[in-house]
Amino acid sequence: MGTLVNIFTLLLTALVLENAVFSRALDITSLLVLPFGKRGLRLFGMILTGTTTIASLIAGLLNPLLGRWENVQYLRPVVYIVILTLLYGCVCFLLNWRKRDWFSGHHSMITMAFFNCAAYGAMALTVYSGFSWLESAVSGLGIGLSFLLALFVLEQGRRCMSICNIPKAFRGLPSELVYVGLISLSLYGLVGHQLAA
Amino acid sequence: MRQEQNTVKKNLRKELDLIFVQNPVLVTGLALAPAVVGSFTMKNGVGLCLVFGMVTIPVLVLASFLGMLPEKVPQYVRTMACALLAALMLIPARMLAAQIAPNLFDSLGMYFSAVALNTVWLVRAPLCQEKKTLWSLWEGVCLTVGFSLCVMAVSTVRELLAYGTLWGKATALPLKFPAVAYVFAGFIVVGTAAAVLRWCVDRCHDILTLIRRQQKKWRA
Repeated sequence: MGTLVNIFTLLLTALVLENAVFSRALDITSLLVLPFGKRGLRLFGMILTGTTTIASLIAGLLNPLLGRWENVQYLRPVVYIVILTLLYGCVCFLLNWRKRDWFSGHHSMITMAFFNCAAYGAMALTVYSGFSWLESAVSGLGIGLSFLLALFVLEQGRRCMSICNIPKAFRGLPSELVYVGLISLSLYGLVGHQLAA
Repeated sequence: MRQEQNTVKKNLRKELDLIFVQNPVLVTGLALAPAVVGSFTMKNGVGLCLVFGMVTIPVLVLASFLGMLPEKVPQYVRTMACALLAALMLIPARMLAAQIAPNLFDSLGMYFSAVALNTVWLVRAPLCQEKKTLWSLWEGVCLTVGFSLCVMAVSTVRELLAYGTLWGKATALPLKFPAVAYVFAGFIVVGTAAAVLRWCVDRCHDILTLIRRQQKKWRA
């Protein structure tokens, strides 16, 4: 029961209070810029969720082994990126072998899902937070799901902004960045800060 | 000969556009995460620029070499080679960063290494496969200058507002807004910087158009 509560708390924290997009800006580029369209971004979010979950699970399993190395802080990022690269290679090889048509249409999406701040960030966070393998996997899942939540929030924001009279210089990326900043500010408010006496 | 010179000029102008008109962060929206989160002091900004340059330039040069491989080699294998080089470049980057400020790596946290997986090289590397090595090198330099200008501007403003300092030294600014160092302020400052850059580029474009029109009138 305790483990279940722990997992639920971790998932909720990753989704809302420490949302990967709003509080860490992980994978914000994919959310704002990539030309995948609404449906494409949802599919991208699902692929990203799978990537972050598997990557952080592997990181959680590897961390005790890596901790034995001397100068591990120099090599850890390199090892994580090598793991991501190997995972990417395996997935691409399998898809190219089994589902070539689908793969040729979604190749760029898969590349972006593996090589971005979210996948690497999910792995790095397992160390900073000192997670076990199960907690790492749940945290990775939370990071992926938080991207999907951020996608939904941004879609609503875009809909509202499309009917507003925004100054020309702020249209598009600048206004979306400010919007994400305001959502991020509101989440900081949720975490709570003491008022000055 | 003249045609060749014109092509070189055109290409040069195209690549130089990557600094302001097509700035990788403020206009194209690439590599936003380190620019938003990491750039809250000037030292952090310099660290980010250093890693960015040390990763992006060699990766783009490698991409142009990979373009010489036979077409049979799939694109994902080329991307894997670029990612591995980016990962390896983190080791010398970290050593150099320690020379600038010993605590730079700790201050930037995971964003120092996350720059190795920036979307800039991911997007530009396939395009560099069709370019000559020298042009890829030049593109890498222009992208680094564009990224550095953005990050240094943002980090200077944020450090000044958040701590009232510049490169860790106190300034005459009497007010401090510590919240500017937080992520939400990073989003707002980068968004505002993007709007300011767009406004400046639009005004320059308008002025140039006006000058060209006047020149045509005078000739007529």
